[in-house]
Amino acid sequence: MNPLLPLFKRELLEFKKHVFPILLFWVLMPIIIHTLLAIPLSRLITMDIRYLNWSAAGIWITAAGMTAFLQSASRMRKIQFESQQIDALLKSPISNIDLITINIARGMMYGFGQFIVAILITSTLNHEYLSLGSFLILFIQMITLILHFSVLGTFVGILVSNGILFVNISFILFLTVTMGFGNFIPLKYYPPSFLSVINTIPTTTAFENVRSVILHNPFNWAGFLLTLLGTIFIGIITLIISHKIFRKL
Amino acid sequence: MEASITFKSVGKAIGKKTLLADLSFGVEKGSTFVLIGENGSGKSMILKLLVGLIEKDTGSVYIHGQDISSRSLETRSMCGYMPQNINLDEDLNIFDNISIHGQLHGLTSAEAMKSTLHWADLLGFTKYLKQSPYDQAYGLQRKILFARALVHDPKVILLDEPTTGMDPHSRSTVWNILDKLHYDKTIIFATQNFTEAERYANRIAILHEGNIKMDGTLERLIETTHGLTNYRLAFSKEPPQEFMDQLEQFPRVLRPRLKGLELEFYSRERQQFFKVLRLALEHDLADLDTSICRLRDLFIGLTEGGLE
Repeated sequence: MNPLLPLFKRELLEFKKHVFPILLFWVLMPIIIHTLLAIPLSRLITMDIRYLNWSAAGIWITAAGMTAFLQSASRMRKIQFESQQIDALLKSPISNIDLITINIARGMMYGFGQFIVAILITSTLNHEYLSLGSFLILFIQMITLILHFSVLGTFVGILVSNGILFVNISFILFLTVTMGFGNFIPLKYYPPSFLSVINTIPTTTAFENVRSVILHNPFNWAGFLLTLLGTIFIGIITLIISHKIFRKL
Repeated sequence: MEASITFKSVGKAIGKKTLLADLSFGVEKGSTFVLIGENGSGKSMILKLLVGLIEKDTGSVYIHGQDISSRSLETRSMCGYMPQNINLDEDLNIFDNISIHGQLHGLTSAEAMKSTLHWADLLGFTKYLKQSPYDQAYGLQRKILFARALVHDPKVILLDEPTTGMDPHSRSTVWNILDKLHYDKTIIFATQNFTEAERYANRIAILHEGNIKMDGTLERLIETTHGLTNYRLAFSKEPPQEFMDQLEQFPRVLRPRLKGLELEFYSRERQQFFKVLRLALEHDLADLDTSICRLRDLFIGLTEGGLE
């Protein structure tokens, strides 16, 4: 039997056990971002389209991305630094890549669930509904971003044992995603020197692509592919590090 | 007998500290091998190394002829490991904790369920299967770890202080199970319990500072003492220093040590004992006990610089 199947089954059992708090989190996260971030900013920022409709993309990215990051990072930290479950798993005939794959899949599962709930909530709040075609394009763009955040979470979860440091990293990431990449404040408001830096980061383009679904603009597939390549690169680094950390060389 | 596990010049160091030093030994198929040693002597490390939780620096280790480095997935699937610490999954109930591990070792869902129920029944925790393992007593958590180690019917069973924290009834259940299993399995267990080691092991290895100081059957180990006997004299009040000074004059009275009101020493000659006894009678002797050297005495001798 493929060891990924029981590992995935374990994740489903945990999901089943905590289904109500998870659903509550999925519903509250986009509502809180919409209420505390998007609505106040909608009174300050003027643009061609309605701000709340435009910022829906930021809500999807922040909610789904942060959920994927936090789920994958906290699970990796828990099994490694808190419960020593890592030993129980590593004694089984599973490889490091299996363990990392399932951790990334976990982040993606929670991130994707959050994305679906967020899209339902923002569509209801903004009275804007996506066509099936737009949704499919959005799905492809978002799944790449969720994967990116999940891999990043696994990478951080393997390296950061200190709880305070992990909270700080998560907080900085939240601020960067919401405020630093044009997800809630259009990029035209940022100084040119800052733009010259963040425009070199492929993730900026990947975020832009999600907003393009709402704006009906063409996509930058190069940015999408570069984000995917960057994610694979972080994944490979995580795997290399895991060989040094998991089996205590 | 065919070898089940072979260690060849295995070394492991962390920083400047040597944890295993050029360790070589073999364990036969169908035998029960015990590792005894003080804390930090390398017992747990040997078990962790066999299940791939720790990588060795030098040497080779084989399980049923397969190298644990190049065939790690195969060798890990042959082993059932019970750790010293409780590392159960708090998000799963007891049943799922055991069943998922069976499935990770290649059992189907139905096989894992059957095996989990079988072990839960044998170890007497069927009624707790749907509960969280962390709501249970420590002894029961240890039994869950034991069941988890055996759920996939491993060829090699590795147990790190298996009965620590268990009540006498549970200890006896665990040893009865191992007694039945040892005919077609290789069992290695680490312990500090000399009685269990003497009673259940076919072979005993005494570890000290990452190496095996002595290895063999209990009879063979006892033979190496050449009839050394342990004597214990109890006094009703503490004997004076003069008495201890007099004992120093007997060269064949080995390792005399006064602990409170009890004097312990070793000797191979009865006459020496009688001489000490005569002296002791002058100083409120209350009781005495003699026994031939056992594992505990050998262990003390080997790890604390020798009995002689």
